[in-house]
Amino acid sequence: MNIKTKILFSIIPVTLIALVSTSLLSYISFKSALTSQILNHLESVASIQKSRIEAIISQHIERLVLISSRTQLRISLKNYNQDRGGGSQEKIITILKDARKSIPSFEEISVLNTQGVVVASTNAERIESDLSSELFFIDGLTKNKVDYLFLNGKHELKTYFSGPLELEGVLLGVIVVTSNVDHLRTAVGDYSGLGKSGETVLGKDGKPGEIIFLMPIRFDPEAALKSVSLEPNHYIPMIQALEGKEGLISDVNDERGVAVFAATKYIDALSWGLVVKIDRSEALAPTLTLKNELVGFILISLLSVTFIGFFIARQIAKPLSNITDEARFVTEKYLSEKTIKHEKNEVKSLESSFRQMTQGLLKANRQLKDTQAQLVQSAKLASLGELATGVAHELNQPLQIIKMSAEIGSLDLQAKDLNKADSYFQQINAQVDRAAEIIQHLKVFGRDAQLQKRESIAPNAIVKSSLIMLNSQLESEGITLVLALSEDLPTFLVNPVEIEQVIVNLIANARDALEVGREKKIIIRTAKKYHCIVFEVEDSGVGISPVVREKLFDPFFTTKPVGKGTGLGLSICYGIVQAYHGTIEVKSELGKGSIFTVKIPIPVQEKP
Amino acid sequence: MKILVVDDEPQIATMVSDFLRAKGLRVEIAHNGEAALSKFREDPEGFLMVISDVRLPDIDGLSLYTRIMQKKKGLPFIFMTGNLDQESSIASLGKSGGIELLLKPFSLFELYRLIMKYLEPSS
Repeated sequence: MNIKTKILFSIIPVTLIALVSTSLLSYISFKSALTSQILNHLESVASIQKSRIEAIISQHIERLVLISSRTQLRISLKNYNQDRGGGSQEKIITILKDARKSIPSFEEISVLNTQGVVVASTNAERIESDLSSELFFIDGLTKNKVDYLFLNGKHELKTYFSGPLELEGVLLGVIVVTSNVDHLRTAVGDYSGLGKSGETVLGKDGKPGEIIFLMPIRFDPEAALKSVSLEPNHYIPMIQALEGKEGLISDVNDERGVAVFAATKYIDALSWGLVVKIDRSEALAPTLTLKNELVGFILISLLSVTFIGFFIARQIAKPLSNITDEARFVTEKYLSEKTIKHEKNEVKSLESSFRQMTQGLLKANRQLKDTQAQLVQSAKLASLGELATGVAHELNQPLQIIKMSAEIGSLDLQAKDLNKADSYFQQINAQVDRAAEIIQHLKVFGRDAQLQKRESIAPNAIVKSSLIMLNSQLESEGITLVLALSEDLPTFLVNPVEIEQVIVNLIANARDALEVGREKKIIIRTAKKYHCIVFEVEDSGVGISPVVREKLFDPFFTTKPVGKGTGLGLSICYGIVQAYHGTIEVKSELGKGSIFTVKIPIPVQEKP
Repeated sequence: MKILVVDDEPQIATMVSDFLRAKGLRVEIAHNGEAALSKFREDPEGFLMVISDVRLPDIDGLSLYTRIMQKKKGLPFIFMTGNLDQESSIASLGKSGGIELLLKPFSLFELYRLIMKYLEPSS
């Protein structure tokens, strides 16, 4: 798995969990707040409806009582019951008609005798009909009652009110009112505050396992007084209401099988159940909006997190793979090692290529060290060989002269030419000195600087003592000498004779490089750079060609005319400087001059 | 007929020529390659032999040999050297004959014998 995928796969689930849990929490709390708000609302609507209905009922009862308590009516009924004459029936009808006029909802008012036969009515057709088996008559014998909803011939919902007619404790008959239910319908049909699906439903118990809706309901105008059998999980709010349980229920199915929130009430006076309900889907519609918004929010967040994650991953992965490629390139190109092919994980890939590169570098370093050691060895051998060759040649020259001088001198002795022989012996002597001098030079070359002869000395003092020998010579040859000596140099621990030898040698070489007819100038500088004392000898001479420069420090290499130089000067200088772990460098331009720079590390002062 | 002696060390050149003259030979001296060449060009037919140091200040003995051979092929040529290394480079000049090598320090008598080896058959 590469790092991009890894980062994405770790960022996305974390973000998703955070987003989803936050959204879920806010959704749940919103929903529960909304639900309790809706239920509270339903509860208050239900309370209002209950008291409205109770008020309507008691108003009707009051009106009924207002009629039944009229003394003239009761006296007329008493008279009628006794002798059926005296115009008592007409009186009753007149009273009933008056009453009906004053109460618009009362459509028909009848008076029944104790046998249940209509004795007077606003509807003439009713008179003499026997209603003794009607429930409203039986109940009306003892109390005022409103609860006899029925559908008339025109399929209109009406209700009967009934109540006893008594005079001085004697039951005379029953008054029955047929009334429209406009008040109730208005109350029940008031959907204000109930949205598009909310309503008030009234019901009562029917036969066992059945209930009866009393009014048309919002979704079924024909429902009034229909008896319906209970189905499982349906009608739950009404069942609760009819069981007398007043309260709030949510997530239950109503008569349509639709989930609703509902408040239930029980009207004691009539044994009616009252349900105020609203469809759950409508009530919770705002949560749906919220849900959609939250899902949108989650999706957008996820998208942006993915995008950012991808971007970050790229930012991390890109340099990683660049470094990996570079490491691999270095390993293959410069270390000639084969590299393992790419892994998918950038970090692992980097690790392995870096390790390969490190191993390659270590190997290369070892090889380099070995090669270097070999080079040093072969350089040593080479210079030893050169030295031997040079020495052989240099010594063979005087030896040749000695040999020939001895031979000729011997011949001269035989010829008794003593003067001539003597000159050859002197020549032999001189040549032996010459050979000895060469050997003397060789002693200096290549040995370690003699520690016991070291002393602490100021670098400038060495330059000055070198010049004691050379000054007058330089002056006589018309050479300008410039001294650029740094004044605040520390003393350093060296053998002054050796360093002086180096300086003298360099000045002598500078002098020999100067030509007639051009500016003759030698500049000597001293300085301190880092932990080194620096001596510099610059000349305005002929310069050194690259070919010559290569051999500059070889023993016996010389560009000077025969007899003028041994070719050992610079090689001895080199040997001395090396012994002090110093360096000697040359900068030169043909025709312009050369600069020889000697750097000698300041040795740590040893405590006695 | 003359012998050309070439050596940058004046004492060697002088002693060799003195000795050979004492033996009755005519000798010319040169201290470097160019001088030797110009002496040879003056009279190419006058020289019997060249005796030269290998190391010379200007052109070395081997170049001198090559250039003289261009003028007069087969002229006897004796190299003198104090450097053992040059033995092989002289051997590489080929077995064309007439090349001799004397290692310093050599005896004048040895040199004389070598010269006579070349002079006797013709004289």
